[in-house]
Amino acid sequence: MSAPLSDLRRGAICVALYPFTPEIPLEVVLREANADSELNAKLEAYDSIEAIAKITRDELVVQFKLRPVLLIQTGTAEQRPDVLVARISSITEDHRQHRANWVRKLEHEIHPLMMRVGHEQHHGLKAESYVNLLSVQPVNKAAILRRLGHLTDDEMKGVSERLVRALEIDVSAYVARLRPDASTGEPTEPAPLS
Amino acid sequence: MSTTTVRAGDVRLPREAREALEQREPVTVTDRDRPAFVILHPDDYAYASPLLERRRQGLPIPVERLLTEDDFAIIREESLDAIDDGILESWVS
Repeated sequence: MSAPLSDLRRGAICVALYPFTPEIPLEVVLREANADSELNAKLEAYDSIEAIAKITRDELVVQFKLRPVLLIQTGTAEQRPDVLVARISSITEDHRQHRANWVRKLEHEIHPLMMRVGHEQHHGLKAESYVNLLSVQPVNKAAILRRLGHLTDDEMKGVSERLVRALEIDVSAYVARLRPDASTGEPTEPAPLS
Repeated sequence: MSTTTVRAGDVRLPREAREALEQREPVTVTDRDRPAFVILHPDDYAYASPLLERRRQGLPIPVERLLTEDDFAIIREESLDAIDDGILESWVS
């Protein structure tokens, strides 16, 4: 039922059961904590709070939607249950009518955090869409149904740039190492990004 | 940040590009349908240059400074989308 692990490579576009951030009502947790001195103590100590998972209340709801996602890391190893993905959404007629500037930025590839996809056959999508690199989260590999297409290495460079911005990653040390060495005029060896 | 300056006489811009810049609209120059350059009005460049300087140094830029009102609206719509079409699954029945 799930996509084979060999399909879960960085840059793959897959259809997956994508979880939305659950709206967990904090008051339920605190109410339970008030009734459970041991849990309360754990909360106070910022200790392990696994006991919260045992709360069985209707207030806790998780929302899912079957939707395309972009794998932003490789998930071919059996040992790891999850893989990090970015959500893909359609560019709708409503967007074109009411968010024309936003659509233009996507089409011109100058949006700093989102990227247009679906306009190339190898993407495997039926409609023009966009990847939102602000909306990144792990999904369980068992929730990935199948691979639809992929982004090329060149397209993934655009994804990497947007991820650096979206995650506010400080690459100044890396950039400084790329500058030419004053004595030799050659770039110094870049350190791997951590 | 260092910039290279050229004289206006050395640059040929189409009339619509000049008019757009006068209206403070950025002009995107494409090469084989892909953006190659973006030309800004100097006043707009003054706003953008601190961000460009940070980017050049590889320093992070607060992500919310990169978002427009359109972006915030899109992000809000994305979360509403979950409620409209999502599959709801309670942790208990």
